[in-house]
Amino acid sequence: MSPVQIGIFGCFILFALLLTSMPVAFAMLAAGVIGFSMIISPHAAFSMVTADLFETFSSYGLTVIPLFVMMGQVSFHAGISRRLFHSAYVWIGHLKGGLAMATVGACAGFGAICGSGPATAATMAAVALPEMKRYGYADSLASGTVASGGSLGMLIPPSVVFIVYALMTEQSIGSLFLAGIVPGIMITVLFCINIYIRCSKDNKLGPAGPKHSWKERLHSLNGVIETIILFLLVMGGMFFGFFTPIEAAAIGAAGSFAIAFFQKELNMHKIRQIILETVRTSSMIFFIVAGAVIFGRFLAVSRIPFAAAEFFVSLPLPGWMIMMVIILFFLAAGCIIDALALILLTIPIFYPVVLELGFDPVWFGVIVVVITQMGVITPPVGVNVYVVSGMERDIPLPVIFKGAIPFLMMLIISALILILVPDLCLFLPNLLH
Amino acid sequence: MKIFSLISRIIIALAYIAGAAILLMIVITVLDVVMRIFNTGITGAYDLVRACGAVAVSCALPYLTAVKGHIAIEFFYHKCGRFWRIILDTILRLASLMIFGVLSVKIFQHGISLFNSGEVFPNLGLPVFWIPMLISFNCFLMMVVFTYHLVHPGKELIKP
Repeated sequence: MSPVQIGIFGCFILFALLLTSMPVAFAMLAAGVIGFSMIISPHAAFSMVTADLFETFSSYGLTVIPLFVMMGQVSFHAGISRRLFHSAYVWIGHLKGGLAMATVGACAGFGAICGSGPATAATMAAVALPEMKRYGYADSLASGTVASGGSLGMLIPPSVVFIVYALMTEQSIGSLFLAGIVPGIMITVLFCINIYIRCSKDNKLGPAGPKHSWKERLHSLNGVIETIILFLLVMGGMFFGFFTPIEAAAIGAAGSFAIAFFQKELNMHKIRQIILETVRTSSMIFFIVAGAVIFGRFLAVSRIPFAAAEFFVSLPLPGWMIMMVIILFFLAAGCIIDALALILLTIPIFYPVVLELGFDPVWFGVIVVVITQMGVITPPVGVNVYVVSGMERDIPLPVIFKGAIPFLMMLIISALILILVPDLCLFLPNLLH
Repeated sequence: MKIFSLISRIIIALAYIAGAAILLMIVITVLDVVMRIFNTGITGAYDLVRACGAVAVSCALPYLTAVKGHIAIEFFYHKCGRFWRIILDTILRLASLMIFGVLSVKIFQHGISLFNSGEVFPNLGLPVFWIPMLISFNCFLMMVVFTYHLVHPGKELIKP
């Protein structure tokens, strides 16, 4: 068999292993070793695996992941989400659908300090769902808002998915973070417009809450200032070149600890939870990255990515049409595969194609994240929907999925806007350069 | 079984060591940034952070496995009946035991070769051989966890 044929065979092995529910990291590692052994030799394959595991685990660049994960976990346990929601609630809670819009705003704010979508959904489910139920919001709107709003954490920096994409493609983490800001704000606004229009048409969907005085509103801003300071410190430090992304992550984590300490939100139980959740998430990501590195080595020696790039470029189709096919693939695959795993599995193959077609890699990163963001609220594997369902067992799963559909439409519209106007993503990173 | 109870305690202790390594990374990096303002810095901060990262990730792997925290595509698995799920689980655990058995040995051998060659971190001069050995030890612990999951289908060694 030629290396390309072995490469295709290796991809089938990987696919078969994934279907058996083998962890993604193990499947990539096993398929990578088998394929590399077939093309080079078993001895070379094991030498490659041991060296790559050592290099990945002791990589300085990857240390940014546990630091940002810890920042998010501390923020999660420090009650920051509760204060963000309260502030948004006293400002816009009196509007029709105001609580749902406040939830989206709080999700966006919390996403600015926590890089995980499911963590954002979990924390907002605990904070916002009881309030929306108390004011008679429809279950579908309340739960759909939390599940969809939680997905904003994937796009608004610091985002773990962006970090992994940047490390895989050797792009600047700072550029990708900046590229996510405008699309993140745009999607937040579209979500709010969607809620407002629907609630204005149907009074029972999201009735208006009580109006708060200006004194209460101004006082509530105390709960937002800490988030703004932390976000500006992390992003501003990177943007103006004071810190590297790793230093920004460490300072962000230290800052979130300081906020939690001054708010007296930390106790031994919470610290234990922060540590265990941080190490669990970080090692899970690291191990998938290690698996992807090993599988990527196999793909490289099989020459599959180059063959794929040559094949796509030789097609008598315009570049944008090929890009649409890639995007549709991500959309379909995102429904059954976790966003992070999907990116790590497919980027080694699609990235050379994207470069060969002349698309901007930072723009492609944003598009991929927006598309995979849809996957967390669509059946059958909508992670955020399951998170909300786990937190609020009274609401049936189909109701949450139904409630997320209008937000899914907004995400599709956002993706189309970003495809048609790439400068919306690239404007801020271009300023950096 | 007492042995698994002991193993789960070791795994939790290692998870806390991993957490401590991440906290140390934060302290080192923040101190380094602060000291940079005064035109100084921590010698070997880069190497220390790398070493802490390696400790954090490798020591967390057994915990991740014990709480079944790895990402998997379980959509098709959940479509299977109980019988086929047990069959699949058994095959997966056996395959994982084999993979990590080989890895454990090979990575340990890599550590020995680094020890013999006297390889060190570039700035600090700290030996690096212990990192593969630590990874190897944690791969071995993962094998113990797989064994527990093999004999106790559907149960986690440690509740998340």
